[in-house]
Amino acid sequence: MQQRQVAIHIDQVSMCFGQGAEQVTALDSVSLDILENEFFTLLGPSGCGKTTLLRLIAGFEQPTSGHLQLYGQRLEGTLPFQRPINTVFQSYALFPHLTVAKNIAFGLEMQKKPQNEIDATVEEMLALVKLKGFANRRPHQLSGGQQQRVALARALANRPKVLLLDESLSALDLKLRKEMQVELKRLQRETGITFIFVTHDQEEALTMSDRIAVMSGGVVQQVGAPADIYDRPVNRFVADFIGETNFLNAVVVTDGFDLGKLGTLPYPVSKLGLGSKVTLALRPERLCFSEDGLPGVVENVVYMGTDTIYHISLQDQPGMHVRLQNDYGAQAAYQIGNSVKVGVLADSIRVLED
Amino acid sequence: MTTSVNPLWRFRGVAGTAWFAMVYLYLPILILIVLSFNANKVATIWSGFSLQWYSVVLDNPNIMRAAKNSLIIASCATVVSTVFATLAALAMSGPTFRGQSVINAMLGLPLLAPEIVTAVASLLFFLAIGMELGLLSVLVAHVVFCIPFAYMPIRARLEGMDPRYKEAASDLYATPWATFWRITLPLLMPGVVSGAMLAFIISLDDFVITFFVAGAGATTLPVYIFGMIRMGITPEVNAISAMMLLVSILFVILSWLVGRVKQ
Ligand SMILES: Nc1ncnc2c1ncn2[C@@H]1O[C@H](COP(=O)(O)OP(=O)(O)OP(=O)(O)O)[C@@H](O)[C@H]1O
Ligand SMILES: [Mg+2]
Repeated sequence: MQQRQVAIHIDQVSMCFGQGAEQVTALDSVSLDILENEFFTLLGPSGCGKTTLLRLIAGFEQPTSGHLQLYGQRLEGTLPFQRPINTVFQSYALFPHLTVAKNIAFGLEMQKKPQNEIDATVEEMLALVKLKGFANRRPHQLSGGQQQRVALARALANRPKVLLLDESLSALDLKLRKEMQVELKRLQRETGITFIFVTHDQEEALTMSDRIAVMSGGVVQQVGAPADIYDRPVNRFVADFIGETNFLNAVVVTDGFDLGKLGTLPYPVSKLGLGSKVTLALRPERLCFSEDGLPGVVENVVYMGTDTIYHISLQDQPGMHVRLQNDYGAQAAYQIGNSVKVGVLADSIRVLED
Repeated sequence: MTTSVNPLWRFRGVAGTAWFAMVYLYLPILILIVLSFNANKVATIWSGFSLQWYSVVLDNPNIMRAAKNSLIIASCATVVSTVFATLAALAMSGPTFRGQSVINAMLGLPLLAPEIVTAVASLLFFLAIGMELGLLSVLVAHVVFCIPFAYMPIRARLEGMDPRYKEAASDLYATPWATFWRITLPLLMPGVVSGAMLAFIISLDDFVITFFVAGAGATTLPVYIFGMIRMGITPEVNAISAMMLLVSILFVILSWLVGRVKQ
């Protein structure tokens, strides 16, 4: 594969708001490289600093320390209107006194593009976001989802080098959302624009992204491809935030993990320090029921259509969920109250050192 | 029940008091309007409907000159004070600076200062700098007391404006200058218009300050009416007053309508 250029280089960026005792650290020494034409997602719970990071890239805010580069050029001192970067705002921020068409044309007019080019682009954008008949409406005459699509069109019309999207699909219903996801991916592939996408919807992040940065408390916890993040979470936060995870508390012994009253789980522990405490992360769908597994009792059975989830209580350990695919027409394998044995395969165990 | 009734109405006497207050406020004005259509030469004795006093007013060159002065001063004072008020509001809503709250309070202070004090102070000031009393002195004085009235609605409008609009414009390659003309000012317009209208009626109606600082030849309508009243209340006075009232009411309604237009 050809080496891709770095579009946005974020180097040791910290951002503090307020002063003295009320100081809030929204970003704490964040370093990231976002590549050309990459679909890069910032994922994290509310208040973890996603919007703040986008605002720094757009130029609405200056970092407290650290610096940013766009294609190798330092961004300090360049104002938002000097950056070939456009934002789809979390609150849309459509100009209320302008029509939909005028909103979309705004950026192009400011760049003094010829009128026929502007008209053509506006048409194209309206078609793209499926709002053809809405050109002459005002923003307050649109639904939330429609406003969100206008905001998207307004930013995309400029063909920026980098497009920042702050929870830009959150107001759409499921069907439209899926359509826009596909549409966004197509656009990103065809235009060569780098997308930096913010969401706290992990499924959206996993399906759309080339790479994901999982954030928490202003710190980047892990950066990687969706499969990396899902299969090889580096810490408990990431494992817990992405998908569902069972955690077991264990102590490393010579031939595996000591789980207290549940006995020992065999595992090649050569790289781990004997006697150290670790957390084992296990995905519910990687577990099964087998004779030589960990003994437990079925607490609850939840039928989910394609799968059934068994809630198992274990001695000495937090409960576990086991997710099994349903065979067509078959009954649930176990009932509430049954004693079962949960089989754990060594290669499905993620060891998290606390 | 779909409509909820204010429980206050249940108390005895509340409705009566409310009606009394309305009558108290509007009855004198109503009487003035009715009497302006009185055919009798004595203003307070009704003897039949007539429009003659309106034509007398319109034919009186002195009244017309005073009306012209009033309109010139009110228009100029409106334009100048609205421009100042808009600039002040923009400055006050920008990045915070030292003494901002003091300045904000000072901008509103003329609303509270006794008008007679402002009048005397203005007169003293003009005498001190040796300025001749005339249309210009009246205009300068009017601009001063119109600014806070124009300022209030503009400031309120600016306060309610989402800062994201400016950011969005800036994000879409608009320079600060372009952002001001294309986004901030159009969004601010309803506030500017209602501020300007307020300034206009305030200037049009002013008596005390104008009386002090208007020299010969700068008589405005309120000052002229005062002069007429000293000869006794004539139906002519009623007719002019009714006409001024009409202009004021028109402006108040317009200002209210414009202020109501959202975005
Ligand atoms: N202007 C500001 N002044 C003070 N604190 C701020 C400011 N902007 C953000 N913060 C704080 O910084 C932290 C990060 O905020 P940010 O808006 O980046 O979160 P977010 O990840 O976008 O959350 P959400 O998913 O809810 O949008 C929060 O604790 C927030 O309260
Ligand atoms: Mg946010």
